[in-house]
Amino acid sequence: MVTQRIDLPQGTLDLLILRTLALGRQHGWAISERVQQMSSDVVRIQQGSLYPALHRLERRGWIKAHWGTSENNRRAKYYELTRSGRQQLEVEKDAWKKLTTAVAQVLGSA
Amino acid sequence: MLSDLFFRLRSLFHRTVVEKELDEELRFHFEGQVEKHVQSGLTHEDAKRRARLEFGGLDQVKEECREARGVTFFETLFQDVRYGLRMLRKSPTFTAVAVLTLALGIGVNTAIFSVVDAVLLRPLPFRNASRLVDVTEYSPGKVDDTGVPYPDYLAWKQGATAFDETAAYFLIRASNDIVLGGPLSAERARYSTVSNSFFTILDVQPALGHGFSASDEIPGGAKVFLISDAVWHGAFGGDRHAVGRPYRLDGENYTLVGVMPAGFDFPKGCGVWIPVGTLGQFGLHDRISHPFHALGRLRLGVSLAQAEAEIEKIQKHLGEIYPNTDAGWQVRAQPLLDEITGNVRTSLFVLLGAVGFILLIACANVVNLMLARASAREREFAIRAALGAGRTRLLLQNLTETFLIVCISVVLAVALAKWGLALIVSLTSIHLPRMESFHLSIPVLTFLAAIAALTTTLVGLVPALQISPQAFQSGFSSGQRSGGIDPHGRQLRNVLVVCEVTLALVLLCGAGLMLRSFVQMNRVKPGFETEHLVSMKIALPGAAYPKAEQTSAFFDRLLERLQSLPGVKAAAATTALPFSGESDWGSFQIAGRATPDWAHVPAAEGRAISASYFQTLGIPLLRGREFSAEDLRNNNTLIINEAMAKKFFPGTNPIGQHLISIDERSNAREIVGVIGDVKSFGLAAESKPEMYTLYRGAWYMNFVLRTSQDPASVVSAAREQIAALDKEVPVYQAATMDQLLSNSIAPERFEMFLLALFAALALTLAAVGLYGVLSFTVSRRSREIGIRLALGAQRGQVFRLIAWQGMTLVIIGVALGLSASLVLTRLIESLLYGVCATDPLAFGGGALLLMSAGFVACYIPARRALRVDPMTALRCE
Repeated sequence: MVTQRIDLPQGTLDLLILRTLALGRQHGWAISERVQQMSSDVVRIQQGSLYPALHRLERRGWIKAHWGTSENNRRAKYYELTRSGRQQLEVEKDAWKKLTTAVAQVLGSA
Repeated sequence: MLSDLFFRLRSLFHRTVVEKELDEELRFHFEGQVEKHVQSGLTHEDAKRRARLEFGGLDQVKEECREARGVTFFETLFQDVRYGLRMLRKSPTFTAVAVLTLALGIGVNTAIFSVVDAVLLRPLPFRNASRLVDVTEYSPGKVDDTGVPYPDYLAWKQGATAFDETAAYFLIRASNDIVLGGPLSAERARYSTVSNSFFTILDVQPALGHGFSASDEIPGGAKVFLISDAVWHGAFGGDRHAVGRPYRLDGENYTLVGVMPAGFDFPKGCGVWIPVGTLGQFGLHDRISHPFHALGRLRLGVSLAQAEAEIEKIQKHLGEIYPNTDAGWQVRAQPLLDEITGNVRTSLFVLLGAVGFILLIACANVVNLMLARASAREREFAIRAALGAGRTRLLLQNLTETFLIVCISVVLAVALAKWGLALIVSLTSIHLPRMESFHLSIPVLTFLAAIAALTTTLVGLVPALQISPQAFQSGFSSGQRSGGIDPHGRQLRNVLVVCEVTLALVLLCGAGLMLRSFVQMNRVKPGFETEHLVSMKIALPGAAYPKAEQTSAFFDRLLERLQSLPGVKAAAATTALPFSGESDWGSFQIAGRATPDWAHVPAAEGRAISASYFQTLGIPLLRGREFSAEDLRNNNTLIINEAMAKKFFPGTNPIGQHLISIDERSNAREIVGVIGDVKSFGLAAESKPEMYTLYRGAWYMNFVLRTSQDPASVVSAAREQIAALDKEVPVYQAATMDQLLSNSIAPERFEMFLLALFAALALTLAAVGLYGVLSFTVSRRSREIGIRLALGAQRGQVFRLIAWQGMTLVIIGVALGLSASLVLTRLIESLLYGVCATDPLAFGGGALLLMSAGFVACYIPARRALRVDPMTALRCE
């Protein structure tokens, strides 16, 4: 089954990760599964882009990580939002809304 | 921000841990995917394969994560450093040559800059030193006379608002010494008459005793004096009880009131300070003599130019009120530091320029070395480029390697600078003002860092610019060595060699000029016979010889004894010895002439001598006669030198005329003879008018002996004679005239030596550079040469081909160098004597020397080219 891959616009990955983590702390794999789930299988995050993004977000202080045990008793690295991360999420959500409304407007008008 | 830094630091220093964590995290994800696929029905194997495909390149993910962590820069840097060190170790000759060349260039720069820093840049050790200003008057017509009369200083002090404090100090020209009879020994010390504010403006107080009081500034006050710490330890033996007692100063009794703190000897090595009250009424109102300088501290916000303008206005006004004495004198104000270091400035800057050239030549050499090495490493670069290294990455790596070389050179350079400077100073026994020894001060360190950065950039970037991705393709695929010379690289190498030759020639021309100037100066006839002449100074303690007749009697007796010593052909005495810098400038009146206005009163150097003086020194008698026994009895005769005759009696016969000296107004002396000029103040200086009288009443004396044997034995014999007459009389500064002469030109000799050394360095470096480039060319073109030989070229033709290639560069460099020199040597015009700045002999000599060195440098590689065996060259791929 060939699924059509839609490329994520730049910067959306960060937004998606932050959004997912807003629901609670998770490890990397869970994040990727969640996003896939929540987008009804449209968005599939590649591992190649997920982990660099996570490290980048961690560096900027928007998420923080700690090691814990997973559901199947394995060691996993869990991420959660920091306070500044929560603020950043709001900022990016705002920006996204504005952008999409504007694009829709342009497409909508004749 | 802080968390970012934290994060990066952790990633940097806990790399292994962080890497392990990343590994684990990715593996967890991988297994999660595998589980998912297994659950959706695939076999374990298929699931794993699927997951692997989805994952993509594991290493690439890791690499991106690493980059996201933001420490790639440092990691690559460490990598480069390790790699660079390894590469340098692998090619020890290259590293050694590069390091030595750069160490030489950086070392000489550091050495000279440390001198510049100590002498010119370091602030004076006085409070608010930057605001201290030295003001003097000068008459545009006369070059030698500068200075301020005391009444003018008073007028300025009252009228000027630019300064918040002023002082006057007697500035020592040449070396105006005063003879001080201390308890232990008589000593000749420099002295300065100063106003009381002198000490407050410089913010120094006596370490022992007390300073001058207000009453000391009034004429007729107590005769008191202060001494320096050095004089205290010398003539007074560091005795604390010496303070408060009277001592003989310049023939009179002065009371010592205090000792200045150690290290204070302003101005110019001063050892004795006396208050202005000692000038007396006459001195304080003397508008004719210009012996002082004024010192002022600028008010905040007032500039030097403003202060100078203000004083100039006051002086103009004074010129109107006192047209006879003050008209025509102009004012010059300069920062105190400039006044102290004045004449060394030009020389230091010239030297700084010279070492700058050397550094450039050294850098050019190392660049050429690196270019040669880069061609050898073409394949390596090609592989790295193919593996994905960007141009910046390769540039960075090259820069890192260069930086490593520079770091090692810097360490070597500092050692070289310290050792070299000490060596040169000891060889030439020069004493620069304010310079003690090599000092790694903050400005010097900053300079060192700047030079290191500049060198790294120059040497690292220039060859790296040659690296282009296209060149890699060809270098990689061809695999041949001969076709590999990037024509761009060759152009760069040639340009660098031409630049080196140009710079070297400029330095050679400069050194040549200095050499010629020195030779010219040495050729100057001093006016007397300097060989086999020994001199020594004696000062009679005032307590034992209070009367003038006693001192004269002593000297007469001593002269007799000295003349009878074996090995002494002739003996004489004088109060001022040539080449010792001693000066006794006094004014006089010529009888029978209208008294000139006080601004134009004649003055000359006065010397008191024994009758045998002229004969002993070999000074020729031009007119009239020498002193006779009758002159000794009557003490009313004078002998002048030719300069004085020309200046004050032009066209007439001075013999028979009468002079009245300002020191002996009652005695009109008759001129009985004219003798030849002596260059008393240095070979390069003009002879000043001098007048000689027979000594009487002088309490210090120089004795001059013409010897026929070893001077040392004569000196000890002389000391014995003096001790036989009086044990208490000290003898000091025994020296041969040759030594004194040599010392008088020591500064010029030092400069010439340094500049010649630098020129030689530059020449060697340039020659080595040329040799290196040509050798490299030969080795690269060996195949081509082999083909030429095989096709029938004569050996001579091949030789000429290579040699000509090198000599063309030299000739172009020499041409450019000569044109540059024509312009640049004007800068050292002030340092030259008897030679014009474009002296063809110096220029020609420099060009010839350079071309010969160039030829030698070309000869060896050209010879090597001849030894290329065509068969091996052709066979070797």
